[in-house]
Formats: sequence, C-alpha cells, structure tokens
Amino acid sequence: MPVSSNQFTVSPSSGVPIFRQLIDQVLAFIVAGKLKSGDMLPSTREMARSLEINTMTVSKAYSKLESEGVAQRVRGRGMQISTALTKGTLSKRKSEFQNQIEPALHRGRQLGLNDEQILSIIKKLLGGRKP
Amino acid sequence: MIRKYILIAKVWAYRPMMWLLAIFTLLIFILFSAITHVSDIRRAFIPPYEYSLNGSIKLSRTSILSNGNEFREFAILNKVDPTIEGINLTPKQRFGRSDPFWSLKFPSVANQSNRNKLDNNFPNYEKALAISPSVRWIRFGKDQIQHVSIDTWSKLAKLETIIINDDQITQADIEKISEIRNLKMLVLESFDLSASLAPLSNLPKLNTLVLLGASSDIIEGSLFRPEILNQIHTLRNLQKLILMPQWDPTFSVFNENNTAHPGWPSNLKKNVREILPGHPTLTDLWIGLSEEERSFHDLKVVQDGMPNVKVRLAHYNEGGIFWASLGFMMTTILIFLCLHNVLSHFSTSYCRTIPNYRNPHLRFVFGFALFAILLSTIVIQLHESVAWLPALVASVFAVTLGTFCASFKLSSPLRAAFIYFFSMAFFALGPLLHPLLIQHFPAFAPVLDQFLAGYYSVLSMILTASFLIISLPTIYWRIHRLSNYDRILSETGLPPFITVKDGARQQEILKHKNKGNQRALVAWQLQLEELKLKSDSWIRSIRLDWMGEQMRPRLHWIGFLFIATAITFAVIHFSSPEQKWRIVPICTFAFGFMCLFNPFISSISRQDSLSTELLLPHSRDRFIIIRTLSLAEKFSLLLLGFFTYVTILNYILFQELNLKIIIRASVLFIPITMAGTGISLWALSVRNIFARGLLIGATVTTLIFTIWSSIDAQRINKRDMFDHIPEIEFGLLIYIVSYLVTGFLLWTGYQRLLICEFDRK
Amino acid sequence: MNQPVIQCEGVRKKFGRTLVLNGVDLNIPRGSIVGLLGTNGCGKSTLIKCLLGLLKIDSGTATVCDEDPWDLSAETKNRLGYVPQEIKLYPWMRVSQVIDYTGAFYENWKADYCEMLLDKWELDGKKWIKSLSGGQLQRLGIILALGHKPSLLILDEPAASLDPIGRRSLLKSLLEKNAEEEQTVLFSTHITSDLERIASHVAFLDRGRVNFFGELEELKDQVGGNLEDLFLKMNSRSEG
Repeated sequence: MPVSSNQFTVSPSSGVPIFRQLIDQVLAFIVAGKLKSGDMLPSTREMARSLEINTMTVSKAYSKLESEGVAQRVRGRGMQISTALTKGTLSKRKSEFQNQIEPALHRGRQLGLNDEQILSIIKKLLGGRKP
Repeated sequence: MIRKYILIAKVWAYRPMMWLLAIFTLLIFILFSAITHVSDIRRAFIPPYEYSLNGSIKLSRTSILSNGNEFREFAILNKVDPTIEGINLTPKQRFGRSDPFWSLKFPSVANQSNRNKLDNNFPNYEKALAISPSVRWIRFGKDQIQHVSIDTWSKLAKLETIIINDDQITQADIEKISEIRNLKMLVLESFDLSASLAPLSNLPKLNTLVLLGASSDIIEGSLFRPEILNQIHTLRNLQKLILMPQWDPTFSVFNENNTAHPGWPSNLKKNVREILPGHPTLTDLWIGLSEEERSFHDLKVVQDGMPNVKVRLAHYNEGGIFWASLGFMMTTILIFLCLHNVLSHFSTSYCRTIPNYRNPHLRFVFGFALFAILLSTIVIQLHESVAWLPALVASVFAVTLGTFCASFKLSSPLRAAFIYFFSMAFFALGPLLHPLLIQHFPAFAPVLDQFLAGYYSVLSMILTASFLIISLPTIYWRIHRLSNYDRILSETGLPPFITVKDGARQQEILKHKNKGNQRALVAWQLQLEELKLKSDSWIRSIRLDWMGEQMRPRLHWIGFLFIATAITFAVIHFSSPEQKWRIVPICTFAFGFMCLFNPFISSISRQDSLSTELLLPHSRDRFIIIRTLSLAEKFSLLLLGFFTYVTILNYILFQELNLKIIIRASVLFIPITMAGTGISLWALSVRNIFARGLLIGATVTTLIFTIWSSIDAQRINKRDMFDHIPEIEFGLLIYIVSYLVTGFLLWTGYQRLLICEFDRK
Repeated sequence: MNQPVIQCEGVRKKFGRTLVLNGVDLNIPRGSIVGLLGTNGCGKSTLIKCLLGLLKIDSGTATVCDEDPWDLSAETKNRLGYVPQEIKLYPWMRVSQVIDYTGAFYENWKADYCEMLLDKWELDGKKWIKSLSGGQLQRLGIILALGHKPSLLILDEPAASLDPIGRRSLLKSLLEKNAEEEQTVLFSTHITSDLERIASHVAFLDRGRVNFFGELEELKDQVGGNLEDLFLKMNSRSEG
C-alpha cells in the first residue's frame, strides 16, 4: 500500500471539517505523486481507528472523493484512485478549462452572436464528439 | 441462576454494618442468656390468683378499706362508706416484710419493721365490718378472724371471699370460716396449716380455693401435704384450685436429711396426680412447681391423669418473656438490615438499567424475611418455657412490625432508622419492662407466659394465620414500593442512599430544600404509574380506588386522632391502674369509631370527584362495583383487625377462647362489613343534610351494635360501663335481622348509586 | 438509515414548578455517535434519565428500541449500557466483585472482555471501591456499562473526571465498538473537544429544547468554525 493511514493527520478543533481535511490530504498526496492512479486508499475502518475519528467521517470524505471522480469504489477491495485521473482535482481542471474558453466566448460576443447561438455551437461541438 | 443469589448474598455479607450488628446481636444474646439465667432463680413471687377470680376482687381504691390511714379516719368519724366492697385488715405491704415467709427467715428485721406499722389487732375492725353491708371480700391478718362474731358474719350478706394471711392457720380459724355460708372463695396464705380442711365441706358455695405459702421441712403443717389434698378431694363444689408453694432455694439448708418431707413442693406434682383425679367438680387447677421442674412440659403428667381439668402452672417464668423479647430484637435488627440493603440495591440507576434486576433482589429479600422468621423462632423456642407455635407468632409479628416501618423509609429513611433503633431499645428493655408489666397488668404477664408456654394453641394458630394474612401482602407491597426508590430519588434530586453516611447527606440536602413532603408525593405518583402499567384487572382497579385517598390529609388526621386517643388512654391507664377495666370499652369504642367512621367520612369527601371519576374509561356498572368492593375490602380489613383485637383482649383478660366466640365474631363481622359498605355507598350519593343526618344515625347504630358485640364477647359487665345501655341478648333472630337489614342497606345503596346524578349540587 | 434507536417527540419534564424539558424532539439513528451538547443545567441529564425510565416524562412520547422507557423489557436492557454522571457503588465491595455482581444479571456478559478493559485502564480488581479515585470509579462505571457489549450506550458526562489519557482511551474504545458492532452511542457533555473527533451527530440542547440536530461535519461545513465556536454561536443565537 503506497500510503498508510498513519501518514494522515487531522486536527479536529481547527474548524475545518475533518472530511475536508482528509480530502485535501488525499489530493496533496496525489499532487506529490505519493498516490498514483490504481493505488488503494486505507480502509475506512483502518483510517478511523488510526486517526481516532468516526468511521462515518471517513466514509463521508471517501464518498466526496468518489463524486469528484478522484477515487472509485472497488467492490471487496475498497477505495482506489481513479485510472482516468489526469492531474489536479475536478475544480482545478474546471478552472483551467474555464480559462481557455473565456477568450473564445468574448470573441463570439464581439462577432454579434447571442447566448443562444453560442450555446448551440457548443452543443453541436459536444454532440459531434460524443463517444 | 443460583449465581445471582450468591452474589446478592455477597453484597449483603460484605457490608460492615452487617458484621457490627451481628456482633451486637451476639452480645445481646449472651447478655440475655445471663439475665434469664438469673431471673429463673428470682422467680416471680406474685401468684396468679387475682386474675383467675373473674373480677371478684376489684382493685378500685375507692371501694377498699385498708388497714392504714382509712382506718384512722374511721376511728375518728366512726363511719364507713357504705359502698365499700373490700376490707384489707393486714398491713399494707403484702409481699414485703410483713409476709410470714419473710419473718420466718429474718425475724428480727420483720419485728422491727412491724413496729412501725399499725397494730395488727386494731380494735375497731370488727365494728368496721359490722357497718359495711356491701363488703364482698376481707383480708385478715394474724389471729384477726378469731375476733369476728357470728352476728357480724350474718350482717355481711354479700361476703364471698376470705383471705387469711397468717404464719399459722389453726383449726379454730377453719371452723370460723366454715360459718360463712355464702363463701365462694378462700385464700390461705401461710406456711403452717396445722388443721384439717374438712369443715369447709359444709360450705355449699365454695368453688375456689387458693393455697399459697412457703413450705419447709422443719414445719410439719405444710399446706401441700397429702392429707390436705385428701381433704380438698372431699370438697364437693370446688371448681378452681390453686396450689402455689413459694419455694426459695435458701430453704434447702433446712433439708438436713435427704428424704424430703411429703409436703415438700417437689412432691406436690406426685401428690396431686395420686390424690386429686376423680374430683367431680374440679375444672381448673393451677400448680406451682419446684425450681427443677419449672417448665410447662412437666405438668403434662398431671394433665394426662386429669383429662377433664385444665392444669396450668401457678407461677410464671419471666425467662420466656425475656427470651421472646430477645427474638423480637433480633428480628428487628435483621429486618432493619434487610431493608437497608434493599434501599442500597434500589437507590442507584443500576437497578433500572440492569436487566432482571428487581425480581431476584425482591425474592432474595423475601427469602431473608423468611429466614429471619425462622431464625428468630428457633432462638425464641430455645428457651425451655417457650413452645414452637408462640415463638412463631412472636417472630411473624416482629417481621410484620418491621416491614410496617419500611414505609417510612421511602419518605424519610433517617426517621425510619430512628424508629428502628427506638424499637430495638424498647425490646432490649424487655427485662426491665417486665416488672412494669406485672405492676400495671398483673393479669397480663402470666397470661403472656402461659401463651408462650404453648397453652393456647388455637389462639397461636389464629394469630399466626392473621399476622401472615396481614403481613405477607404488606411485606410484598412495601418492599415492592421500595424497589422504586431510585425514581423517587431522581425525581426529588436526592443522592443515592447506600451507606449511613449517604442518608445523612440526603437529610442535609432535605434540610435546605424541604423536600420531605415532595418525596411522599413522588412515591404516591410512582405507585400510580406502576399501576397504570399493570394489565386491567379488578385488583388493580381496587388498588387504584384506594390510592385516591392516600394523599388526603384528613386521613392522616384521623390516624393521628386515633393514635392520640390511644396514647391518652394509655397515660390515664398508667396513672391510675385501678381504672383499667374501664379502659377496655373506651379503647374498644375509639377503635370501633375509627373503623367505621373513617371510610364513611372519606366517602363523603369523595363525592365531589365522583363525576370526574365516572368519566374515566370504564362503564358505570364497573365503576360502582369497584367502589363497592374497595369499600368492602377496606371495611373487612379494618374490622378484621378490630375483631382480632377484641379476641386477644378477651383472651388476655379471661383466657377464654372457644369456637363459639370465634364463630360469633365472624358471624358478626359480615353484617357489620355489609352495613359499613352500605352506609358508605349511601354517603356517596346523598347530599341532603337530613339524609346525611339519618346516615350518621345509622352509622352510630351500627357502631353501638359493634361495641355491644365486642363487649359481650369480652364478657365485661355492661352495666358497669354503659349504665344507660340495656342488656342485649344475641339470639338467632338478631343475626337474621342484622343480615337482612344490612343486606338491604347495601343493596339499596348500590342501586341508588347506579341511578344517581353525580354532578347534582 | 433504518428505524431510529431513540425517538423523542415533544418530551416535557417539570420538577416542581421548573420546566426543565420543554418539548424535546430527537431521533437518533442506529449506528451513530451522538453528542448531546448544552450548557450546565440545560437538562442533558434529565433527558437521559427520562430515556432510561429513571424519571417520568410529564408529556410527549419517547421510545428506546421501540419501547416505553418507563418500563423497559429485560431484552432491551440486555442491549443497553448506561454510565451515570456520578458512579455510586457499594463501597464495601471489591472492584472484581462489583463486576461479577453486575455481570450475573446479564445474559451475555463478557468477563474476559472486562478483564481486558481492567488491564487496559490500569484498574486493580482487588481494590476496594471506597479506595478508588473519582476517575477510577468512572472507568469502572464505563467497564460495567460495556461488559455486555451493548448495542446502545448512553453516557452522561463520562469524561468529566477522566484525565486526558483516560479520556482519549475511552473515546477510542467507543469508536472501536461503534465501528465493529454498529453500536449507537448517546453521549452528553459540555466539553466540545471530546466530540470533535468521534461524534457523527450533534444535538444542541438549550432551554429544554433541541435547537439543532444533525451531522456534525455538515454543520461545520456549512457554518464554519470548530465545535466550540458552533456551541457559542448556538447559544448566542438563542439569546438574541
């Protein structure tokens, strides 16, 4: 196992919810390369035991990670870092995409296209690329 | 699951207080053994004949003329109160130094002390006799009877009893006595009866003979020698015979040759067995036995020879009473410990959260109570003069008493502890109490002794049964209520009560919060909650109905009134013992009054709540039936107590208990219960002031009926007590009428409630 | 989550004229660790005592494992553990005797587990109860409540007289039980730091009512700040 539960630390009275602290640490490990796609996260119970926190809190953190696509639940094995993972979190990737699309939108407005027309072009493009 | 019980026992056994009290009990046990050992030697001196005479000697001071200041007055005024019934011509100290017994032993002391007294041969006594027509008894001193002329005898038409106290009774004395044709009872107090009793057979009415005296080998004229017994055998009308040798161990120094004189007390039993059987009229025989044979078992031989005669001990053994009070104290200690442990078990929240906690503990407590009864029974009957059954009665009674105190533990544990220690001290004082008992209830002590000796087995059984009937449910409910102690504590915010220190802490808190009353209220509320959980049954409904009255201050007030009455009369009683016969009907009346009026008054006070109570979810029929049953139950309990009281009283005073009395009591018991219930039912529905007056009249009539019946059962001369109440005979007709009338009252009361408009003002 | 273990609806409780609980509504889901928070004297202990049948609820309804708390069945009690605020035991007994005594009444008492806990919390079984310190007594009280592995554990200020090591150890074993056996825990305290780590839910009790009940992490996420801040906020809100 690349990252064991005792490499995590939580500070319960910091004011930041414990599940957020866990998510941040998982992401930090990914950024630092300690966690790679396909790696298993420590089990909920192990995590809760070593950090002395409620299992529900750990589960909460893990489900958030799952919903953000960082990790996925593998039946019988636990949480695994997603294989499709590029880099950064969903929000980071979103903001990068936003940075790219912002000038294009600006140009469209200058060409006199209204919101509906811009959206139909984007939909068309997205439709053409549908897998 | 024996393990549970073992562990509960462990919790009890490890308690330091248990050990302290065990050591204390052991010390008391040793102390009592020592005391009873001594007291067996200092055996009581007073003979039991006073009570066996059925009141022919009245100890009322106003009706006695004694050789003392009264005679001085008589000498000056030459006048006697015509109502005088008894004359005592001996010096006042009857069992003191003027006693012939005493003067024999210490002649110099006796002479010296006699010098200070009035002359025994006071010259005017015959004059006094001559002008006292209503005299019923006379007590003569030394040689006095010789001076009474036949003329004087003829003037004393009512004279029934003669008591002679003389160191030597001569043939001339006996001859003199045989002149009194109406004589019913003769008491000879002496140690030398050198005469024949044969002339007494001329007395047609003589039915009681008492021989009381010291006996010694140096005097040939023993009162108990075979010749005297032979002469007694020829007395035709004799029914009651009391043979009471006053035996003193120091006398044995006179017994130089080893062969005892035939009149020596140790031979008395043998003599009686040989001579007296076959007496045609004798019904009661009291025999005093020597020191070696002091137990009632020793009389069995005599009794077997005389199946038609009641044979009893003439003296009594204080040891039995001491020992019983020891048993009492032990039981009190055991029950105290038991309840203290129960409180500890049920005062923390663990009793609520641990599963199956309550029942094993309660069962253990019951087991312990039974153990206490058993242990105390065994200890009490260890004494040779106590039989099994009375020992059981005493133990069951003590346990019942103990659990009654348990209810105090709920509202005030410290007060309960106080009551406990007080009662322990009371029982510890048993030996000291005994002289007091003899002085003020001369009849009671020997009866108690004979009771303990196992004479009244029917009474013992009745008492055991009734105590058990009363005590078992009591023990059950009280301890059951104790098992809610934790809730009371948490509702009132008091800390748990495990050690004595905790109790003090509670009391400290209560002092500041004044929550004493609240604790009682909470206890009541919890009882209610518990009943609510029970499945719907008649018993539950009746208990609920009873609970409606538990918090009423009026009831406490009535209880207080009752106790106050009892105490007042007790005080009167002790301050003037000669009034003791009058105390019986007064106490009976007070008790009867409480029994009948208590439910009646509570019925009236419950009128206002009837309409709301009717709206509770039950049918009108059921509501009224429950009310009726609840009232009937209450009455029957109260009256059961009342009749037990009367029966015991009857026994104590007259040692009479036969099937007839019990049947009469129970036959009476039912209509009185019915009447009380009927009246209370009527009281529930009646609002009219006149109708209420009528009801009170009916209650008073029932009350008088009750009192009559009880007085009749006590065979007290009613004219002495209630001069204005005429005699009433209890025939079959009376019973039939009473059943019909009370049945009618009950039925109409019930019917009326069924159609009564409760909310009508 | 399935049927709640503890349900309260409009629970009211009066002591004399003082209204202590004024309509408490609370549903505690199975498997949760609920911290019952509130100022001193706000009725935390009263609520707990009402839930255990030590006190009578004046009005409203409450159920514990679907039973009326006033009359809990032996079956429910076998699954229930309770640590009172003040542990009161027979002072003349030894620690091991008290454990044996309590254990005798449970169907599924784990004597070896108690031994283990005694070892872990450095309690000597041979010691007399009267010689125990407050903290040791508290530990014993917790062992007595855990000995039968209850599925519902109710603790009334359990950590108040424990030292930090004992407190941490207690919290840890609560967490373990919760993780292994889906034990539900209700835990009253006014020390917020005890709850930060272990509570899944919190309930704020103020003036006889539950002001807030919900998941602790959600609350922190939405409102921000640690539990102490939240606690202060809750109380100032109700004051304002």
